[in-house]
Amino acid sequence: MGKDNQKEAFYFQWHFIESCNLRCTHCYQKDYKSEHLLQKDLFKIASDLDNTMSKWKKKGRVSLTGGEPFLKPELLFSLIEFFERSVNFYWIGILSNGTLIDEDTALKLSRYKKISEIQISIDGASDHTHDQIRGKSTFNKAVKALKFLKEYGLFTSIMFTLHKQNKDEAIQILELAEKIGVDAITIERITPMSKHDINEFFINSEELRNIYEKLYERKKVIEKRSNLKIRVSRPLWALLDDNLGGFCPAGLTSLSILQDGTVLPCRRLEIPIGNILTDGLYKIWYTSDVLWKLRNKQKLTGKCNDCKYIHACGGCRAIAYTVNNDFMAEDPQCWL
Amino acid sequence: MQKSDIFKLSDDWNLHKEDLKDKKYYLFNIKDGDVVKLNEVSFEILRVIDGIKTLQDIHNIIFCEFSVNRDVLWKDVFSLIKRCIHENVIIKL
Repeated sequence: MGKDNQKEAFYFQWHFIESCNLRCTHCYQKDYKSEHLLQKDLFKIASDLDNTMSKWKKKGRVSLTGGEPFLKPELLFSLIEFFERSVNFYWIGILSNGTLIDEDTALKLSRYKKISEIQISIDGASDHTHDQIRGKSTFNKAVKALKFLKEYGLFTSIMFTLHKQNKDEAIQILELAEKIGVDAITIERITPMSKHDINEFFINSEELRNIYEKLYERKKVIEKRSNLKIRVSRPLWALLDDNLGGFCPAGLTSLSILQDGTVLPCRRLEIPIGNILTDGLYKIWYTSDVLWKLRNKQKLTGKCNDCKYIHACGGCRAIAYTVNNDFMAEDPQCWL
Repeated sequence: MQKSDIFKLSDDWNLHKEDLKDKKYYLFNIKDGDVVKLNEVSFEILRVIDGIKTLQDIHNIIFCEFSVNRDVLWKDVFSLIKRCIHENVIIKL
């Protein structure tokens, strides 16, 4: 018998509140009402994450989000303080819609050494498209927030959730990101959470391929002339270029935690695998059948099973689940 | 230790066989996160410990599964059980 612990980095996406000031058309949240946990329970979760990183000798990364995390700034900043002090976490991110970030907030955020990225969701290259999806005047607020954050030297990124309603602006969003001067942009295809979402938002594989090909060509041009990093580390990108893409880390080096402590492999893969407050992270991590399946590439089915790109792709398990009702099924947006 | 002794796995520990091409066997402590790698025989011995079977029963089952010498197997069973009691992996009933 020999003891063995894990190494390298581990990522948590922690939705510590559910409440939100927006009602985006494509949002994966079912509700916006549930009460957030008491601060002592939030710290209990944070301590569990901290202890686990120490035990596994891993370097922790955490993204704090909601709902909208800036709706509860006192909780957000208390968690930032916690991870800022932790020797086991080196990276703190915040995922926000940007509408509540003013200059004072940007200044306050800039004082934390470990805040490594503030990601703001922008779902259109124009205020018209973005506001249609996220609500009136939200585009200007989000862009303003990015400018404040940049002004105070914070690393900023844009998350663009690609779907039927904004696909025509996928290329222009890169230009907008460059114009604003953000550091990075991620274009993430939507995970439909219902049949309604599939009808309203889902892009078929051939159309997605066309968009990805255009994005890839534009990426090469923009990255040559600017410092903007256009992120292409998710499944399917490897199909365009062997050097791009990546196998989904859900269940391998990442987990998602909801406002009540429920743990999911990924925020978009809505299969609860336990509650961190009642089960603890070790029990969830070591005994979840869902996680063990996700870790085993050989158990992927359909086209993904014997795909030559499996090392850098493996498809999106969340999209496979919501469309095929099987999280190990092939990615329905794969064009191969 | 007697061949008639009965043991059960502690609630703090979880046995797992990773079903890859090269099979891997683990014992996980779900309270403190300790991970112990096992060989196949150790895993099978712990797998059949159920709070009902005696060590003699377990020895008989493992003897049928693997082509091993009876005495060598007894030595392995006793050695593993002793270490597992020490580490609180199993509890004597």
